[in-house]
Amino acid sequence: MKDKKKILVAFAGQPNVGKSTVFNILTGLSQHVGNWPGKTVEKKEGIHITDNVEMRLVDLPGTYTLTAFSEEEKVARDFIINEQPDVIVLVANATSLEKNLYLLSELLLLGPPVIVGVNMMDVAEEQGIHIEIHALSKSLGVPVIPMIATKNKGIKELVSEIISLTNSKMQYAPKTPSVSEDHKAIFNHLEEIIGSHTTTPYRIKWVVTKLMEGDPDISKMVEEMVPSDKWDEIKKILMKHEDSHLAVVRGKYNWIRDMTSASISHLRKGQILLTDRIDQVLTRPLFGIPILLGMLALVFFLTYKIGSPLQEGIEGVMSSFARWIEPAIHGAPIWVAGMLIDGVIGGAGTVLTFLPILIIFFTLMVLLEDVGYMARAAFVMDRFMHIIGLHGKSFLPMFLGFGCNVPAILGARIVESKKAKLLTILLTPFVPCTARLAVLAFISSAFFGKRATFFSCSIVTINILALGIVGIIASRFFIKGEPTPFIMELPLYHKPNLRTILISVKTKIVAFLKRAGTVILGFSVLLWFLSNFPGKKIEESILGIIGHLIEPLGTPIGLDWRMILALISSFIAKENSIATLGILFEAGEQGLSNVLPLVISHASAISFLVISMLFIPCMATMVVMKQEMASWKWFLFSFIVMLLVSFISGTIAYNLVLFLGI
Amino acid sequence: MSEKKELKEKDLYMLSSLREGEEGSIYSIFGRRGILNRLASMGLVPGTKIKVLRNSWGPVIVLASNTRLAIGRGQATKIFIAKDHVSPFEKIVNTKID
Repeated sequence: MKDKKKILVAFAGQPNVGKSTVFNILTGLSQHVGNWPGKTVEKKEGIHITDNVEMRLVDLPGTYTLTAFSEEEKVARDFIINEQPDVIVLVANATSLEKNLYLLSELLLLGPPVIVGVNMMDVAEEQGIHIEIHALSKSLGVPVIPMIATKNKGIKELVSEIISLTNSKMQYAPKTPSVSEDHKAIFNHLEEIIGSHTTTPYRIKWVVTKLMEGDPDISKMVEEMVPSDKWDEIKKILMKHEDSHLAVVRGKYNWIRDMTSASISHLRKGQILLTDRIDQVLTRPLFGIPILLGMLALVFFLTYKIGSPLQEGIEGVMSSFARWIEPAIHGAPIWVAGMLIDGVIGGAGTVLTFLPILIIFFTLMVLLEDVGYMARAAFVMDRFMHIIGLHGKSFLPMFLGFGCNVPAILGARIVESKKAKLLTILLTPFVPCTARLAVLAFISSAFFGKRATFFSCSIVTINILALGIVGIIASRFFIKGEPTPFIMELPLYHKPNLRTILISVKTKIVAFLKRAGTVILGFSVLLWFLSNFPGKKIEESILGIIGHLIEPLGTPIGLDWRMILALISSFIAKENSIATLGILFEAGEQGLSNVLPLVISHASAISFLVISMLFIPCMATMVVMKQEMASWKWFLFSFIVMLLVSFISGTIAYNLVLFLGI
Repeated sequence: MSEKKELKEKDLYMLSSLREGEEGSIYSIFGRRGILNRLASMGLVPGTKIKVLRNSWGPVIVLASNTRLAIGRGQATKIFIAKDHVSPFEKIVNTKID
């Protein structure tokens, strides 16, 4: 067997072009998802093997351009410059090809050969957009492949084009954009000054273009690269021609016009698209807001309607598994058995039982996103989000928090500005996740019977209010700063694609399993130790001692040491508080709902609920928060804020209920 | 030269003040370079023809180069639209806010 030729292929593209679909087809489900080193930007990698070539495929973040405006864009361009991939594949959307070529105009200057995959050809045809692929390829001077990725069309052609482009030195002579005529002299002058100083991997034309664009990173690089007298000269030229960045933009658009004038024709003038008709309704506040609320209510209804029976089923399986394994480890020391059954199986079981609900919730959310609805939800929510100093975009990750806070906080990456991202992460834990909602449902039905729904809804409302108030205060006093403008593309509505949905859900579930799974499992074992040593009873254990020590803290909020311990154990996983209460009140889980109302007052119960809903999130969420905030200062800040908010709200709730005598 | 006077003389409107269904082309955009480049990459540059699809509550939705874009109200007040034939690319107003 001879060695396969190894090549590196980078996938670039703007958002909403179907780049992930193409990438997923080529790499399959086995692709590796991680982070770009030192960044909070997702990196997807995979391998595609043909008869004699092994391609390493890297999915660059979806970006509109390659400026230094966002972390994603920097990641993408640094990768191309430093790794010099053998081929760059630009996946473009046939329905807005002109706009997609803007990114191509940037890529062509970087050096590595580019192939353009024009995706969604079928959608474009439906819309009356006709693209002459050969004419386009001829004018661009780069290979262009027509594709319909959702139907697997064009994939083979793309692969063979990649191979032939790396095989022979076939004539690859792209026509690259230049600055507009009126600034050509300035461009040439700058090129002359910098010329001999640029070193690989940087290309002179690209460096000058970026300099004229006013790119801060490249300006700094050039300043360090050239002698200081030359830098002064460059600065003088740029200062004198302050509008040179527009010459670059103008040059690009002129280039795009030249490239497409003979190859793209729009026939759809006057045709009302389905999208416009749907948007007539969905983006109108009068309908848009009720429809959004309705959609979200439906998501919850379906999630719990389908998910709850499955959850109970898995609980059943887990406990029979524990019973089945018990005799097998009968001979082992008591602590081994305890640790295995309560720690490992209990912990893993907790993670498993939440899987059905999470899978259903995320599938519905991703479905709404895939058909194009979530962008409209962000649009409708934008006004409300402004109240708490955020944009509509932050609504999407925050809403995911109702499922699990871990992927929600990871999802905050779509928010461009650093400040808005920080604020989104700070506020997300106030969104009650499925586990918190499970605790809420259990306790309120134990205490309030038929009125449980009313109390549950009230307490969720308190959460939303707390989120709002913290948001208002934090955005006014702590995370200030000029907001970046809200610009968001509203994609055309289209039929959902099963494959894309599956892969996106898988990514979210893996994030949950990886972080929550390992953390919950580890800490369940630790908790078991703390509550079983040194004494046999929990009162005599380390945990019990700690509980008694901090009991005075519970007086203003009406909680005794057992409830405080339940709260603390919720730090490992939210639903642990029920199990802890079950052990501490020696009720066994079945009887707990009968025992609790006899020993705890209504005021204490409500205080407990309010606090546990607002308390610091679970360990797994905290780990992700720290990682995504990338700052101890803000992490500690949010930790303290959450403790204070929950304690204060608990005090108010406790005294209010006592006063009202509910 | 007074930019403001010029804006008044030509028949220019803030994007946020256009009514639904109105069309025009972008005449100038106020903002920092980073923001201008970002808008440019989404097809919003002086000369781009736009049509306002929604302008009632919340962001303005425009149709530009065959794409629907939601633009926050704050940004929409910084984009000036010429309803008639003011030559595109003629003038850009680029103020630095530091």
